[in-house]
Amino acid sequence: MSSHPDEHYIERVLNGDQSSFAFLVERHKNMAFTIANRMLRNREEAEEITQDAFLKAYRSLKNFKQKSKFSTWLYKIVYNLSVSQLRKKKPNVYSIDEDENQRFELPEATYKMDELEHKDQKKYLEKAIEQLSEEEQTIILLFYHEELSSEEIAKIVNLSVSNVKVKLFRVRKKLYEHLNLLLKSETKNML
Amino acid sequence: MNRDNPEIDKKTKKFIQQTSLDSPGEDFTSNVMKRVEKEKVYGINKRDSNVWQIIMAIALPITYFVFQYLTNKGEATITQMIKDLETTTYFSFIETFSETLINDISFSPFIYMSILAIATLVIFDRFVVKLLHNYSHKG
Repeated sequence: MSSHPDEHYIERVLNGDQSSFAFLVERHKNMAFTIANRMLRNREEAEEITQDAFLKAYRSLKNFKQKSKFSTWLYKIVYNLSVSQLRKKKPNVYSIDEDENQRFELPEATYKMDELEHKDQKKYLEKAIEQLSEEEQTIILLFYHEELSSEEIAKIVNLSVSNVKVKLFRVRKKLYEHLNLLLKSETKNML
Repeated sequence: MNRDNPEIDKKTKKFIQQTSLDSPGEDFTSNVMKRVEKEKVYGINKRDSNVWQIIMAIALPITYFVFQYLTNKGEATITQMIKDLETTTYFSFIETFSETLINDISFSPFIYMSILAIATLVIFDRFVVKLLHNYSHKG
């Protein structure tokens, strides 16, 4: 794949080179699809929503002011379309939590995870992530995998920056709680 | 994440990055592009295909008459045709015109030259103008 920045391909598309959009699709399809798939938990629906999101991005490309990254803008479209799709199935699924001020120490699960082999670490993590809600999975993925800032995530998931920070804190705590339970049950099984 | 232990952030990042992203089907990009191709093209206004056909339909007979005139041998044919037009029906005029055109195509090098010229114009219009347009926007 070419190493030009997204802006290069956006400019080409806006100058009439429609095929340059394929580079943007190739570059961002996995993360876009992962967001939709984690939200909807259905591959076919997620693929449809991701395609719709790319098409919507193409149609609105002229209005994209490049104040944010193209990826942030695209993920916001994917997220919004996924939420709309989810709301058709489960209304009122998203509520904004109140802030909380509590500290979170290095959990026991991290030590246990360190002792595991790489493939086992991956297995338990994926299981623990699956137990998080759709929104929680998206937030943690964007923050730790895509390394987006809280500000960028806030734009994508339509929350305030402080809410994103609170949610990140809670999601991480929840993730380690799930991990802890999974690892404990595994230890019990081994005994 | 200021309130949190940075050690946990580091650990979590390490763990999460171990998990792989989901991938859509192999034909995902081509499916998206098929849908994108049906959309409008930015930058250059796509010419309406009917307009292009009308232009070609007008340009071809004009080119034919011009080359007939340039070769001198066609002068009589044009004059004759105009006379015929006054005395005969449109249908027989078209018939005569078509016959003359087909006969001339078979041996006149100017007809081949005109086809080549039209093809060059088409290529220029479809590709060179687009390239110049892109170049001027980058400049």
